[in-house]
Amino acid sequence: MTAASLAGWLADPRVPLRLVEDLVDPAAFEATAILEQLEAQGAPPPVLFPRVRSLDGSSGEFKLLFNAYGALSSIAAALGSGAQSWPALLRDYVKRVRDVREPARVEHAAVHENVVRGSEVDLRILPWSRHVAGEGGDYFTPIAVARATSGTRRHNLSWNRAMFLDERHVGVHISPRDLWSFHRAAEGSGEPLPVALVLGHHPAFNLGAAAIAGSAQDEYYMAGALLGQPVRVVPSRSYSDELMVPADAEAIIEGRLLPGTRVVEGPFGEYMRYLGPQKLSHVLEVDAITWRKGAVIVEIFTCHLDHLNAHISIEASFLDKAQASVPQVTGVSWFRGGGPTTLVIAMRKTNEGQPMRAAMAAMSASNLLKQVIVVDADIDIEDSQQVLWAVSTRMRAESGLVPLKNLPGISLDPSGSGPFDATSGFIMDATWPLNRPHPPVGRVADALLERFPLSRYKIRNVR
Amino acid sequence: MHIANAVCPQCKAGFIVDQKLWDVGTVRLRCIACKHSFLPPASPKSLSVEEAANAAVPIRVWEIG
Repeated sequence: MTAASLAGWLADPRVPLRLVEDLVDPAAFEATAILEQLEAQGAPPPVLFPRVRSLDGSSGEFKLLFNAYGALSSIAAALGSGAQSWPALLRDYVKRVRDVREPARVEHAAVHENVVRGSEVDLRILPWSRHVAGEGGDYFTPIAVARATSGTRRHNLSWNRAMFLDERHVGVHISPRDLWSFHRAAEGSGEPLPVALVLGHHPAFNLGAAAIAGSAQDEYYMAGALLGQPVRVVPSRSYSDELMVPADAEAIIEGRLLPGTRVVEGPFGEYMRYLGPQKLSHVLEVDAITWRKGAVIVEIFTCHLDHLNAHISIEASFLDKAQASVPQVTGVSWFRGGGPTTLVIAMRKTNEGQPMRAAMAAMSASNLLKQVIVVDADIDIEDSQQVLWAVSTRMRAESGLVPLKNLPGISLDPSGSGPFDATSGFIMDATWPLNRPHPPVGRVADALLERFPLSRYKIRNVR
Repeated sequence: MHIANAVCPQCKAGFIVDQKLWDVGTVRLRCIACKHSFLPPASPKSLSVEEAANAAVPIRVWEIG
């Protein structure tokens, strides 16, 4: 079996790849200025920049890829799915992620074709990017790989923002989840935590980093599920077996998160489409940079569709939870462009109360959701106008609208407040009541559309 | 999101800062435009660095450059 790689995905004819042939300077916003204009034209395709300037001014060693997650077809190709809609893709994701695969150890890896270590390390050889106005520095959006310091010694994968500090240091923002806990345990013993920043891999590998996993789950297994084959891992150059790194990565920064040290980092564009603030973040001291020949570094176009869609693992977990609780759920969807705190659930209701139960189950998956709207299965949940039509015509607020108070939110939500980012929300049941008939939707019958097709008629533009 | 608005005293560029970082008051902010480092004016100095970082050990702030 051919190992799943970024190159394999880029060669997939379903991936609507664009290529910018000119030399661009990503640290001068040149790449993202191009991306911003492409996104204005519609669903953004993956864009490869084969000639990019590194922070030291050189060009040619590395390539940059943005928008791996901008378009549905790109993600579907990554997950081996033929889905034509987001709800269908989420259903495929939920099936695929259950088939976890043990990582496969190898001793030699393409990502070790080039290695610089110790005092030879200079992070300026890499093409760091500036994404949106107001960011506080030059960034990558890598996958951080770390290993628990005790217990199962499992590997954790997480998506992080990483800011260039100097030739050997990176500021890494870490949310208070698994990686944060691993570092806290090491820090308590006065020890640094070895971490690998993976700068490019097959997009399904990266989606594994955003998957919601159990606390005992080695996340290489989940990445393998999404890849459809085991993740090939190799001992890291700096920490040997203590930290296994993905062999088929494009480039890796190996370093240690220092104990008792923080740095002022940010602001940075986030997936809520706003900037996140400057704050105290962790410091990574770099021991090695490794990369394969012609490495393609995968970057997220922050604050844009690429960034939101890179979180479909979370969106899929809402579907998984809602369907596990209420099998009548047929699909879920964020309002794309409307942010990730509002979810729409479609269902074929058989009992009153099911919409509320399904909404509560979805909300239990994470602190992200504030609002859930439940509609009947005849509503296209990807079409916000249809959803609002259902709200307008099928819901009565006295029974269908349930406000929710005192919810823990997420720090990136601008509406949250207080030390725990407290927020509030609602569940809106916009499904037809079962105990009375509802009117049919008025439209011309399909049989008559076939009988009188437009092509039969001479229709002239008057002006 | 609990934030404060910072303005660089040197180049007048504005940017957002985590309220907890602002409330420490002894950690220098870094201008996004000119890289000038400066202490937040009128900080209440109501938090320690460790509290702002949610850390269980003493924290040294690493300064760029």
